[in-house]
Amino acid sequence: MTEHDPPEMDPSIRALLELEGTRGAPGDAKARALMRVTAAIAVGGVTAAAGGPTAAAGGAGTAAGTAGAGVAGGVAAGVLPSTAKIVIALVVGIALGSTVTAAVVRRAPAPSSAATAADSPAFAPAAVVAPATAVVVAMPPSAGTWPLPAVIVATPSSLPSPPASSLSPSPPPLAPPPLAPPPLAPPPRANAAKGGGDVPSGASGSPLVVDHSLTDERRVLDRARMALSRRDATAALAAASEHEASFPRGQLAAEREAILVQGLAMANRRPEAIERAARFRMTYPNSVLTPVVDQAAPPSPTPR
Amino acid sequence: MSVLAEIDASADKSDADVPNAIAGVSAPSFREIFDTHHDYLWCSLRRMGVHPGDLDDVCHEVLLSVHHNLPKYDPTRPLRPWLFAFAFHAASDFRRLARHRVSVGLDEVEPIDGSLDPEQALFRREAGRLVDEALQAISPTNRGVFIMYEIDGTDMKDIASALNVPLHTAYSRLRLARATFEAKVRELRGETP
Repeated sequence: MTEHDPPEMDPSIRALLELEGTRGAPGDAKARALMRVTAAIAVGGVTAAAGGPTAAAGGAGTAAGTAGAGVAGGVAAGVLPSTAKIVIALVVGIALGSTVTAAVVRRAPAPSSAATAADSPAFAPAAVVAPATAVVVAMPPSAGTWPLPAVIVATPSSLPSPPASSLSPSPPPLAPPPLAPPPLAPPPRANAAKGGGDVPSGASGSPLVVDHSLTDERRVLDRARMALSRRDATAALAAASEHEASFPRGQLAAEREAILVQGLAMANRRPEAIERAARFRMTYPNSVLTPVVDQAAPPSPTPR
Repeated sequence: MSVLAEIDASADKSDADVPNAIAGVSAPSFREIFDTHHDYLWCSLRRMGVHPGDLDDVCHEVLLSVHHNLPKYDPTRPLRPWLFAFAFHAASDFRRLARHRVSVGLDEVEPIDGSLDPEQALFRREAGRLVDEALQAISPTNRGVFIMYEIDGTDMKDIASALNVPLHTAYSRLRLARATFEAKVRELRGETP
């Protein structure tokens, strides 16, 4: 007790505050957060870590990549305004052996280019890219069952700055001054894309290509996610079903399926949730959304 | 290895200038922070006045900020005040941008503890409402100090450091916040001053 310490509070009010300290978040808030933050960091986090004007995209068909595409564009730039001045995170790639299908590319006029694709069998940060590059690298389907992410990069000069963050975070006072971007990017190669497999034309000189379908998909699933956060299972299922009808093989299919499992579980439709969850695990065996699905509809123990 | 663990492993730990690299103290991984402190951040945002329907979104952004700034965290300092500062600033931004909104109450996100009998559950819920309403009566700057001190049990020096205010200012804010909170609770209870 110091001279500054205020006098004791009324015991009944003190008890209220102690009770307040025991309150928690809704049980499923953490699962939802895990799903979103995993996807966002997996894609956008590299941008944050690099601390430079890079943009990255994950592979379509991966849960992380697809979710990340939804989050990274909207969030990464907003949350990391000091570093992610140019973040156009999009999803291009391969889902379970399929081919590259679509891309959203903002290209830069810079002649040099470099890109790397994550080579971990599990989801790894999508790309580590030097500024002043505009390259898309996608691995061929034969590379493995885990879809590897494509990389899309743009230069600061070629892109408009994102709008100011709605939650522009002031760094906590304990934090030291911003660090210089760590040298995450390998030295630029003369033409890294040449050996990297399919290279969408947008990377080599075509104008900006916007994949509206991805935007539309994300919009529908955002509604579903918001409904889940409100614990409105009916609305969440309706939005996810709408996505399923409109984009049966959409780029965000894995995310949709995870939402459906969560929605069904929330609506106490356990058998359907379990059945959907089982299908999800079969279709997306390496998905980062699996923990979320497992929490909503735990897998039944394997019979011996 | 979990996805977030992999992300942790891939973080820019090569930078030798970061505090947690030179302090000789092991910093928590992002996954550890998420697992242990997600609910703390979520509740802190709620107490700081973030709209219930936006809590998930704002908490998500706070988590991303934490991840982004984790290399700068000094592990010799307590973690919770450092985390709270993110929530404090995020809530401040939220209020600034969402002041035109109409509050719809907290029912939609209030967790229900199934282990309690209905009477206990009702009591807790009403107590929670009371605290929520009384907290919102405190000015945001004073509220941050009040929450950290009275609910989180944070040392006042750490509060002052986390919120970047002089110690005596933090104490002053606490006193004002207490007076406001107690008066509001009494008012809500129908007690005469």
